[in-house]
Amino acid sequence: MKSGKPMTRIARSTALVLAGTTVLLLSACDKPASEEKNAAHPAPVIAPTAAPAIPYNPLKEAYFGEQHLHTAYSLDAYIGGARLTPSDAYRFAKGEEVEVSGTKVRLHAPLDWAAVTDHAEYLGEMYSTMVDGAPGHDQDLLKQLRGLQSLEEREKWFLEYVVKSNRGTTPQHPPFFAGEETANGAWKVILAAAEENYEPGKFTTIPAFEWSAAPRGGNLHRNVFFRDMHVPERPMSYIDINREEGLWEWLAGLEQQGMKVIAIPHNSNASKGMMFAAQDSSGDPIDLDYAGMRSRFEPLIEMMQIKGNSEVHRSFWAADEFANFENADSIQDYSDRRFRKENFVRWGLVKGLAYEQSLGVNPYHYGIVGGTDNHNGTPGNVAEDNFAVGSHGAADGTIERRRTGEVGGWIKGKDLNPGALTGVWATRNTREAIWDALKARETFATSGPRIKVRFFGRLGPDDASADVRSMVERGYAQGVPMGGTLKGSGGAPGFTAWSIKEADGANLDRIQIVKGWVDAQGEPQDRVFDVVWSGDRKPDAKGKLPAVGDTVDLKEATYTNSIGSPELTGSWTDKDFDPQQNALYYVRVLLIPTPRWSTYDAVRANLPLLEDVPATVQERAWSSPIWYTP
Amino acid sequence: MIPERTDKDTLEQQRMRKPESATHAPPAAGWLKRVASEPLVHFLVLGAALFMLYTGFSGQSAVTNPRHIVVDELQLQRLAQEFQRTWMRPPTRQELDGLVAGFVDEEILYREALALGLDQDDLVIRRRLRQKMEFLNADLTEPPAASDADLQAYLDAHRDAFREPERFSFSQVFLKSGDSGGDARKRAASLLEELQAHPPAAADVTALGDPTLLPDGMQRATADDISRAFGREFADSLVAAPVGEWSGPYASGYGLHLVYIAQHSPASGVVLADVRQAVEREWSAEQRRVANERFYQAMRDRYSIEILFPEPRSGEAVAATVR
Repeated sequence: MKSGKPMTRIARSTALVLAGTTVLLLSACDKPASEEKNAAHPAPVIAPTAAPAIPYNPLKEAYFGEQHLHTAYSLDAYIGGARLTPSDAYRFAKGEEVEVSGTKVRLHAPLDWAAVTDHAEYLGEMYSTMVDGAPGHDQDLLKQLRGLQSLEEREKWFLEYVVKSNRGTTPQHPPFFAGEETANGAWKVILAAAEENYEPGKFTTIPAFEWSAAPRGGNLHRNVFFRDMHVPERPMSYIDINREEGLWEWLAGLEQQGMKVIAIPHNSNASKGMMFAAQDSSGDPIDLDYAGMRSRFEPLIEMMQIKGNSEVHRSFWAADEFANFENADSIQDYSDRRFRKENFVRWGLVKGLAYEQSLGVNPYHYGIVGGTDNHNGTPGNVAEDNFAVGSHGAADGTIERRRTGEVGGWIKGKDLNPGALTGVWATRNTREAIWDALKARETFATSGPRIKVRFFGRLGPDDASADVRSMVERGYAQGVPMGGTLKGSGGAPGFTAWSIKEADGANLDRIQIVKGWVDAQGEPQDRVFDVVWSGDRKPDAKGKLPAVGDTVDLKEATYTNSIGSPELTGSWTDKDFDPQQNALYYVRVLLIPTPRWSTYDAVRANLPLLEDVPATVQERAWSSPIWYTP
Repeated sequence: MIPERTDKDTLEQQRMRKPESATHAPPAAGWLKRVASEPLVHFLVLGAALFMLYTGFSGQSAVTNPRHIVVDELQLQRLAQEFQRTWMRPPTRQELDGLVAGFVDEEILYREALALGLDQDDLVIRRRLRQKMEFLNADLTEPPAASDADLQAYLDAHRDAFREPERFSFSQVFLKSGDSGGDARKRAASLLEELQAHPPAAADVTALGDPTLLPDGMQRATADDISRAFGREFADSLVAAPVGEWSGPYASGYGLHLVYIAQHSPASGVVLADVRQAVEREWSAEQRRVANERFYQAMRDRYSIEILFPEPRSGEAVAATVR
């Protein structure tokens, strides 16, 4: 089969890494182009000097990227028909066209960074399957797998040979595992792809993998990210380490070897109450050690992806009028993954404050990121109007499958969404700077559009006028950005929030601040405040702001920017502030209504709109919280 | 840790995969080497080998009586092993009998179907066979590593694809459109006059126009960079904007912009060292395309092809008349 390529790529990539270094050195001394049109008189504005090799901005830029993506090296993705490799995925992220199940697809605009996170589980098995000449490649079972033509056949094979050997609490390698060497081989292919596609200043790749623990079917998955190419010889899987405490211990061991590493959990919505459980894996109440390890290695949580938005659910947050957004209800139809309030990120974030008060450390000290979790090698393919290839290969790769099918074992097609993006505020686009920003929680997530969000907090009044143009300097000088913590006295916390829409995207509706705290019983409480909004809308007597309106034409799947605003800036001070009480604050930005992907599908295929999903969405962005500690 | 080990691994890999790539052949065997590296030759040899394997091991030769079925020990072993792979245990005698009965029925139906010609014009069978052929070919056409001369020649032949893109260094002053776009246009016109009469210093540009956190300019930005920051319409309008003076207003998704372009460098050529990676990628893809085409052509050459095109010749007409 077409499987010899990844291996030979490695050899090439070694040369390319060297060549790449040379290019970098060369391009630092820019050669003047002959026909350049320069200003005739001494330039009054910008001296057209040669740009430094890697642009650097001490006040930081927003870089949009993907931190959760599977390729053919993930067994479940391969089963679904994925044939793109890690390197193909990075090429897609850089704006190149790829083919998924026979359909050509390309991003509207390249990403700034991406991480391929193939499952560590069965990585070796996938290497055997795909790489010609690898140990185990010629086993009959794998020959059989490679020959299977339909999704149904492959799913049956997967159930027979993989799922059944992985159901217990002590998961096993399937019978066709050809030894640890094969996992190392696959890991090398993944790392080589990261090396080969890294273009400092332009596009960053992050070496990563997914540890996919699912005890009793509850999702405890974590993606693991390295700051540089100093990485372990092979990734750890659920088969090697079956609970999160073990994972953190392993990460601590890597740190001792000089590696820099973080883990990011996801899909708390499907965790059966285990993501933010009061007990550790052995059933004891979580303690200082647990909280310490968790906050040390897990600075972030992935709040939204194709399998739902885990911020809040409308059933448990009736007071939040925007809680009904990609709630992914049909997840509950599979593996008994029933929703409850304790599965959602807003609950977990606020519950963390209670632990901070009782233990002294907040185990859920999470900044916010988003991802796709696509299983077809297409990172960051999040636009509602570009979901033609779906997320899981053949399972949701056609309009028909998305309308009537399911992603096996997980969710109905119609409840999917194209996933989320992560924005990081970093000084420049290098692996180190992006990773440092992730670690520092200076991040925000968006449900797809490249909305930018700034958020600064301080104690006490702002010392200057509210001019947006000096907001960033003032923000860093007087307080902390998103992801930071305000400590001590100085007065009530004050916040400045700014957001701007994607250049060619939909306008903004409003900026909100969500405040969270725990009551005397240790129960999480929260409240949503409208901070600034478009137009001249006035809140009613109860403080409710009128809706922004709706310009969506459902027959054509179009909208207009005749409502909303391209850019909003607002300030807000917490008037109910209690200096003795731990609290957190995060920003939520809402866009004007635009067509949901299912509406684009319906219009393109000339089919009726689906009845039990919304026809429009209000896309949004969420900042990482700013915490207040007495 | 990767680079040290992979070269070796890859060579081993290649040796494993291509024992026939006569690396140690003496010079006299040059023609043999050439022949041996022809995909078509690989293909035919492999095909012959597969055929021999099949007829040798399948339990009945292709020339035996079509009405006579032998289930020999080898076939029994295969059935038992297949069972074991699925169920992780060997079959009982009773199960084996069931497997044999199933095999015999399948073999009979298979032969009867072939005799009736049911494999003819079956889309699924045709595609499956075509796919098998393509797989065989793909395995044999891994392109060799590119030499500098190969890459240079490719770059020379595809200059346009590897050009350094057009770049702009500019400053901009933003004016909000708001509800009354007319007002913004009026303000833009008077501000433009002011800027043209008294060009401001770089530091002062930020303070002009309406408050925003949009960048007050970009340095050596490509059209794509500009498009991501300000939108496609604005990026397009800079192409024709004058250099060295304030001009505008130009519209974007955010509002109106007055622009000073300090530098506009056209697309220009590059040297191989700057784009080696991209050239190598495209060169490899090209080699695969060429090898595939050669393969198909070599196959076509073995056939004489006659196309009896009916009149009239439009596809639509053909679809309507044929059959």
